[in-house]
Amino acid sequence: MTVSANDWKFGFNAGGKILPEGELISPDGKFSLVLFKSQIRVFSLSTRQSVRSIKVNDLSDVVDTAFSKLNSSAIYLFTKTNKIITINWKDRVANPIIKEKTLKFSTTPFGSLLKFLKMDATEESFYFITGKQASNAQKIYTRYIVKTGTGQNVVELANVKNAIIFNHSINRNRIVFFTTKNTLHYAEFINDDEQIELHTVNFQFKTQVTSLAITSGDDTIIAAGTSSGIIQIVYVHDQTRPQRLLKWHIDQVKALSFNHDDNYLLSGGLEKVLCFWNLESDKQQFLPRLSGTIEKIILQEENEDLYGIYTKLNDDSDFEYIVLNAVDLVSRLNVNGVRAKFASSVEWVTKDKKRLRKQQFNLDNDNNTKVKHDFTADFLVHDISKLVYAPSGSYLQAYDVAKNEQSFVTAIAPTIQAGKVRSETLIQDPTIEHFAFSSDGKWMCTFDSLSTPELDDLMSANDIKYSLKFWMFVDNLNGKSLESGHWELTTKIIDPHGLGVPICEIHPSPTSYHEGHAFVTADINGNLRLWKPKFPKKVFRDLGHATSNKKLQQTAWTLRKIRRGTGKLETGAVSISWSPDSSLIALAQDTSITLVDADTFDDIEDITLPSLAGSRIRSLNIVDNNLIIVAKNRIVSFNLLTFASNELSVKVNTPIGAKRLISVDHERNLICLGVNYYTSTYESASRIFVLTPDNLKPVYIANHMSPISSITYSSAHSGFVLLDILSNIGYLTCSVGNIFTQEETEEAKAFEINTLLSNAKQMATVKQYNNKSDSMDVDIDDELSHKLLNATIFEPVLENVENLPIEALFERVMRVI
Amino acid sequence: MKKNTNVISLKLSKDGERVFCLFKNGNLSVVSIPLHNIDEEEPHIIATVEAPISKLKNQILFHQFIDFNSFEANKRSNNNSLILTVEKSGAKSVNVKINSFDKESISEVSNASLQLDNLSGCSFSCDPSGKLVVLDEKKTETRISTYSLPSLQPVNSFSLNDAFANEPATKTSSMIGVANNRILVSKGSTVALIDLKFRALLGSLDFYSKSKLPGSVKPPRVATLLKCPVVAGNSMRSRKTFALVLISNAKDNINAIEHVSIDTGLGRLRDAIGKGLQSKTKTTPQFVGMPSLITTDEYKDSATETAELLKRSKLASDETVKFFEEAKQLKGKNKIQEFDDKVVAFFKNINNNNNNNKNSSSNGTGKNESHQQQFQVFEVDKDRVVDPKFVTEIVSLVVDTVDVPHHSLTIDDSFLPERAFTYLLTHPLFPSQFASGLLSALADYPRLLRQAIVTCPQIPCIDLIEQLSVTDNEDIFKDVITRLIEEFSNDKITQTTIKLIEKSAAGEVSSFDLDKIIHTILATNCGFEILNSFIDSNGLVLSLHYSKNETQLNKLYQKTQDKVNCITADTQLLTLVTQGLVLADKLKSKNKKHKKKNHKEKSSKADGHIEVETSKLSMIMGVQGRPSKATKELDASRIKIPSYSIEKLVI
Repeated sequence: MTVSANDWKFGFNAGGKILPEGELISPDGKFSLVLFKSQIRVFSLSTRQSVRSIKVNDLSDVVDTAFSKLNSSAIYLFTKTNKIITINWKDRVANPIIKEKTLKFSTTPFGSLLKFLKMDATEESFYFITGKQASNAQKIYTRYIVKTGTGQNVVELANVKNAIIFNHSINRNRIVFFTTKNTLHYAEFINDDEQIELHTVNFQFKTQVTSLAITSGDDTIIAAGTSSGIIQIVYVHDQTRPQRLLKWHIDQVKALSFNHDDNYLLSGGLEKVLCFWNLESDKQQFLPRLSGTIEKIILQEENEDLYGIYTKLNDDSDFEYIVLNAVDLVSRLNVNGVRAKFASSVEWVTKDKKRLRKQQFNLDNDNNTKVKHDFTADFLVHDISKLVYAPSGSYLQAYDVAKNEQSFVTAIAPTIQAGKVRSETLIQDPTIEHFAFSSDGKWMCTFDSLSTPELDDLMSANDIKYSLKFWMFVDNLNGKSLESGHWELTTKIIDPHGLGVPICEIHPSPTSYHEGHAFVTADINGNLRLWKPKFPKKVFRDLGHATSNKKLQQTAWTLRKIRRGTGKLETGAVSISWSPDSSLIALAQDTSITLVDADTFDDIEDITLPSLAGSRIRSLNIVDNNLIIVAKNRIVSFNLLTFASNELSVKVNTPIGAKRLISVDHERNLICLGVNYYTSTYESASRIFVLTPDNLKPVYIANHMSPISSITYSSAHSGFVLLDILSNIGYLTCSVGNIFTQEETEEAKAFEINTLLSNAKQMATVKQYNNKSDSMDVDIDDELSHKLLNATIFEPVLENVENLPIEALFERVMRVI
Repeated sequence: MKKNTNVISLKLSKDGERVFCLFKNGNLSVVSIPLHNIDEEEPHIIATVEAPISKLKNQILFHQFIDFNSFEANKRSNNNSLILTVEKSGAKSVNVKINSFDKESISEVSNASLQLDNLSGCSFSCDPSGKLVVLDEKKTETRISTYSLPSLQPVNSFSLNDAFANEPATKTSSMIGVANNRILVSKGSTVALIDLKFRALLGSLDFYSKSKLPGSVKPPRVATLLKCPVVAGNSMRSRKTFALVLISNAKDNINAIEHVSIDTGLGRLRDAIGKGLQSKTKTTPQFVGMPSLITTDEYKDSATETAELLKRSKLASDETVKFFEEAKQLKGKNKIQEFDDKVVAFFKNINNNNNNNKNSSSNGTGKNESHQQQFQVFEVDKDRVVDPKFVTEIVSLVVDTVDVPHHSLTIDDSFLPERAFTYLLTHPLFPSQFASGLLSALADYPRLLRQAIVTCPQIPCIDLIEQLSVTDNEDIFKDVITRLIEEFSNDKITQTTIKLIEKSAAGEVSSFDLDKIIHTILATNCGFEILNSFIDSNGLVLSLHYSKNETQLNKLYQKTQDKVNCITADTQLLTLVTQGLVLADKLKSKNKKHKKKNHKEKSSKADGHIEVETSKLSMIMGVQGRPSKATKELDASRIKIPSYSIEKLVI
């Protein structure tokens, strides 16, 4: 059966990363809009679920957004490139972009849009803060407050020189600036927004100001958060009142905002705690245990009872957007992107492009796949729950692709839950290095490393603690909660390969080996270790159950087999593959491959593999009877039976993490391979190949315009699941069920013969009955016994079956019989 | 029963009350056997199925009672037994029927027909995994085809010519099932175990290979497979079986039955690696092209990309083939210089024409000479990506294999392109079959030898150790030591050294001098890391031999003697104590109440005594079983099984 390329479906529809700008809550308080890189997602605050996603090409330029007051289904997006894009967010339309206008900014000194302030009643003129894009938080620029619109000239209303940071009040009527001269300025709209009044505020400077807030009511108060954690309150309206210092934070205050009636000040920072300061009564309230450091607190004029908060989850600019109910501080919405840990961050895509452009690099067929950075990320699909898992730091995120939202996050290693401040930032959390699911999805194995903090000059400063953990999946049987099950730690093994020896790969055993309940780990020396669970005997289990002694019910994973590696040579380029029939393990170290007997864990020495790789091996895969080798500069396929190279051998450069870019569908013997490359315009793009192990001719080739980070096969999704550098999740599936003739499974065969047998028996009973009854027509008997039915007889029945009603088909069959 | 004269097969039912019969004409019957009152009841037919009468007289080509379980995955008990019959139904077709018997009736389970072009040359068998195996013998090839039962879908088909390469094509064959997916096939005097799933020749045995030797006058013998117990062949217990083979010599009219024991293996990939029977249908080019997977061209669509990839592959392949032909010619003309230039330039991706032009334009031989001095090595980022087979072929132009099983290589003195060979020695694709034995072949070329030691991949451990003994050059010695430490574990070095000593004793290796190695290590102060491996390889004798001097040996002896004395004393004491305890026990039972206090004191005293002694004992034991300190230290980090801790985390 041949498959045309049209039968394959390929697309990226889920996932993505949250952009920390441009969030909106609809004026009626029912929906919240969150910006992702290539889509705007609308969440219902009552159901906490995504109700719509609006595809827009690239939203990373957006600096601010606003609802239109004239048209309730329109929002405005304001971009760095000085565009105003009007988008229909409410209705499902083919093209959500209503209008796209570019402002006349090119000839002016005003730089580009930074913040939207307000618009007039006709929504023709807009007020902005403009200036140069700040590349880092503490850079100094001149900021302008301007009025402009499409076709209008830019009118400067005010400017503040040497501004470092600024913020506006909730009603966006006042803007506060902090400048290099350690002074505060604030601007206020007067005369029906036609003019700006600029004030300078004297205040006692303590330390570097890191965040600002200004009230919107009659009494002008400015709050300034500092890098030392102290918040300074300056009473501008009443100069006689002394400055106040609010002390609770112990490291920099990253976000500040007054509430709607100016009674409360909200602050947040590295402690991951949201603070509420009652300015009248001096009482404090706290909302602790937020998921990350607080980066932004957003209050909108229209919604008094909802607070929006952006928290930063890690150093890789992964954000979470939370909407809190102002009354009871219960979260109304949590929005997360896919949080994968990429080997090199996404920024390198653009940096590489710039570098190559500058060099006018000459790309040819040999070097266009030599992508300088490894954009791969660990990423797997758990087949029982259908969730995709991505590790990041010491957390493992499970993401529901169907609902397109985070399902849960679980800590794989103990971490400091509280936010780290000051010298605590030196303490590193454990990092998940590798993880794998057993082939049936009931077990998970994780490997994490914890380096000793550089706090003191300890002898152990360079020691890294490794631990291997085995987790059992506990399915959510009663279905009470929404979550789809959780993981329970059963065994933890410290330094599983000896002191300070890191593991390079965890490989689950194939289903044919102890039902897939085993893992093999390989370390930098090529040592292999086999781990299997030791289930407690039934007696003990029952006893433990009766006495609720959990220790007796505990399943322990233990070391069962060892393969000694080589000498001192240490290499990170270690990869293993276990043949589907579980008899053979192939181990690659650098450029050499060793075959290991999976029963004895001894090297197979009766036959030696020829030299195949020619360069460092990234990944090995045994597909059917072939060994697929992904090396640094080639991909080759080798037939393990005939010991001959297959036709499939190509030249291509692969990154260090290339093992994440290849995945195998063992049922159909298909290999999916992703290759990142530079296009002629130095863009980083990727191409996805579907290959069979013994044929050079690809089954399917797809192109994707951003680098691919991971490919994994999922039987639950019956296709390949892909992750790209932008954290988008995509699918590659084939719409034709069986691509190649599969060998019949034994179950199917048993079923077949059983059915045939019962048919035969029934036939025999019919015949007996016929023989007994005298009045029976003999002809029928003859026909029953002698007419041989086979496929050829039915052939005419199947002629011109198209558009034939099913009744007619029956009739035809009956006629033949 | 008269009818039974043409019965060709019988099977007893499980309870022994029925006999299932197959008649020559294709009829099937169930016959009752009166077990309890033999006198009263005659055996009688309970049910029968008559085969439809046809012109061919229902010639039964093959039949076999098969186990229902071979079709069943879940092993549900079923009283039915099945019979598979293959009947001739036409000149080129057969009917494959499965009938089921039970106590009262026979029912036809399936009936399918199969077209076979060469029916007269076909023999049939049934594989226990539920497949019909057809062995098709033609003049040019012996082919095996399998069909799934009962639907007769073709599963696999492959030629057995490679398995019987030594047998004349005219010989007839026989076939018998052994285990799941494995059958025995005989042809001429060779019996082969074939894996149907992997299309692999697991093993073969020639009963009379002498007749095939050139000039042999021995008459050929023919092996015919008679019987073989079928085993599951999926566990260590069920992998052993045997076969009875009839060996007949038509000329001398001698027949003999041979018993052959068979290890079926486990029917898995591990048993079949490297044993596959190559399918000759697919003709691959001499060298694969290694085309670039992605070019600088814009992506169009899947089909165009595919077509272009294939085109690129063809071009690249042709280029390589052309170059190899050129290299072969250069070797034929013995143009070493040109061979060097061309080969290195090809691997280095330097455009040949350009190079030639430059050379000719400069017109200077001086430049050529400087070029010659410069040895180029493999660089992974710059060099051409080539087919491993191509490297093998190029190397084989320089190195000749003399003796395949013993890995003897020779290098032709008259044709040694040194630069090209140096480059090849640095290439990670240097073929492994030339790596073993390479060092001894390069003995006369110290520079190349050193190059090989440092860079050539896949040199076996045994060759390196042998080199240690052979070489007198300190630098080479150090290089070998470095490589050994890098690449092989101490265990492996010890094991290999032992093997080498054995070989040397058997005279397979010219001379192996362990003493010399150890002395060199001590003298050069290099390789202490693996000194232990060498010393361990020869056991205690050598360890003692290398302890520093006689006084120390005496000390050791003294120490050992002391320990032995101590143990003797301890044993005596222990006996005394035991006796004392026995006595105390007797006393205890006699005067339990009266002497309670007294006894307690006594026993506690005795106990204390034992404790002291045992601790002394255990101390001695510890010393005795101690391995050499250095090995312990070295291996500690490696062997140490990690500490386990179990903790439960509730989230």
